[in-house]
Amino acid sequence: MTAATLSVPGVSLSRAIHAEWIKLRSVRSTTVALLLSVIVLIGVGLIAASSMAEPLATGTLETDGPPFQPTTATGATLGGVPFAQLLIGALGVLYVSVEYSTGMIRATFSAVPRRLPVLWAKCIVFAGVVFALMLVSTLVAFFAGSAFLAAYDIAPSLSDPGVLRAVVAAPVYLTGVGVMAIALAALMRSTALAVSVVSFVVFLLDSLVGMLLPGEIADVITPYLPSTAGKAFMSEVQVDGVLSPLPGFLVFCAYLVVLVGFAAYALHRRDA
Amino acid sequence: MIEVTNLKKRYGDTLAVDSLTFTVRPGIVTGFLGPNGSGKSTTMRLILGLDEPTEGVALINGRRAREHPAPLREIGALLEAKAAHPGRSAFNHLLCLAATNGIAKRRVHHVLELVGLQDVARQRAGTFSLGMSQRLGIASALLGDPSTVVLDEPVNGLDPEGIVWIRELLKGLAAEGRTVFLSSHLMSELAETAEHVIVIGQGRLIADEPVDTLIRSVSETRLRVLVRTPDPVRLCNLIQRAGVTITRRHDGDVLEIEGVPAAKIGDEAALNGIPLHELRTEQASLEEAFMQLTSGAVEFRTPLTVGRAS
Repeated sequence: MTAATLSVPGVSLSRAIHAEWIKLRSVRSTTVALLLSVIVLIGVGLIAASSMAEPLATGTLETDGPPFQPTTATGATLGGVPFAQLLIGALGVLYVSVEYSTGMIRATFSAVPRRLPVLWAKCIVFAGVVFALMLVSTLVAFFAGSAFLAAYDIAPSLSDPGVLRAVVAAPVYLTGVGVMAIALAALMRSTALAVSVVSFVVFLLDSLVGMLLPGEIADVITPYLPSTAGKAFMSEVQVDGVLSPLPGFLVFCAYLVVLVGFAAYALHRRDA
Repeated sequence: MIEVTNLKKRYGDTLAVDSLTFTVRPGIVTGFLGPNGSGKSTTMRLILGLDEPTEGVALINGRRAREHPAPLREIGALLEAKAAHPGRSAFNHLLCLAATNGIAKRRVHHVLELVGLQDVARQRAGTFSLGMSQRLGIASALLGDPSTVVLDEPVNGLDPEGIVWIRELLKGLAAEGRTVFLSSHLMSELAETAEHVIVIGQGRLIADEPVDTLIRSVSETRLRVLVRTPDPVRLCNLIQRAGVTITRRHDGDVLEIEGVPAAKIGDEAALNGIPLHELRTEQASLEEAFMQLTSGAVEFRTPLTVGRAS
């Protein structure tokens, strides 16, 4: 803060952002969990790249695995994304829901009675931190994973078609999951409920739709699920039954806009 | 200054706050009194803009809470003691609240010293005792150097030393010209601190007057005379009649008499040669005055509304 900002009192978005940044960095369990998501993203990516190198090179990869199982070399290095998203989702939920469970929210809203700056600030701070961390982690996972794949001569390169997009898309997707978690937590105000819903939506929903609904209905619905839409722009190649990258990205963004919109409406209207 | 006009708040079928109108003036400590569940906390949340009133309006210095550009500089509140993230240090808890309103870091240090938490500022709030948490809550209420301070049951969990400390603090804040609004369900607690008292029961306004006036008005309707005499039986027979209640205390030589003024008892005793060792009028205690005021409201309570703590 500069002397100029101190002299003029008042709530502003930048001050709300500053406050939420202090909140994020001042709780040890949050920083530990963020580090853990970095470790998971890199670690699982390396394990996937090393274990899948041979089947990928020899074309003996089983193709009927769960939806989160990678099917390409680049995909293998990004194999940590489905697991990191669970941590990011839980963290995003806690960033909001802990304020409700501790009663801190009433102090927060007494300081910012218009409330919406708090929601925007939480989204911006969390998205910024998650994107920065996940971008670096994804690049580490990609290059380190490629080293394993290079032994089989199938190492992807950022200059290959779609690979750069896939590598940038992974942190974008994870950031989106974090924002989705914040919105759901603001809507539900319960840690357990919001964590369950986020995990279910990003991790299980696509498998369940495929398993429980009749094939032709599932084929119509599946591409528009948040996780499948994410897969559409995170994959360097066009996958069957998945939208192409741009529509996939737009569908994913539409979910975020709608959820954050509902959260903003609820926050504005409900008693704290 | 807090101005509440025709304030109503409905939760489902329950009218938690019912047509409240009152003003809390600067320069004095105003008590906000009511039994548990009478709507005190709800009213405070409505004033702070945390809950939206069903009807009516609550203004702080002429504006609603959310219309103030820097709310912490207008009104500071302590609503519940354990309202900080247990994993965050006291200093960071105050720092993030200060940041929202553009309050300087040195002010955070200042309020921590003011409430005596400077030595534990870097400790996590989760390690604090209830008394320390209350002090942290008071520190956050004073963060913006506000002209109005609202505290919900601030002495809960404080040791006697802490209670004296907070009384002096609140009186000091009022003496500086601030508006101090303090809730309690115990009148004796407010008697030491508040000059003026607003009493509610069942969400409705029961009294809005100086503490002295409240006690006096109740005392007039409920005079009690204490008489110590070696001959209580004769005195009893002398003044016993309809509308008079006599209770014997201790070993029987002290009588509590209601319904007859002290002068009349003294005259009767002198006329009949009954020696009196003590004759005095006892003022109704604050708690009695309060019980009497709110008893009407309490009688109408249904189990459903009792269960709904505010």
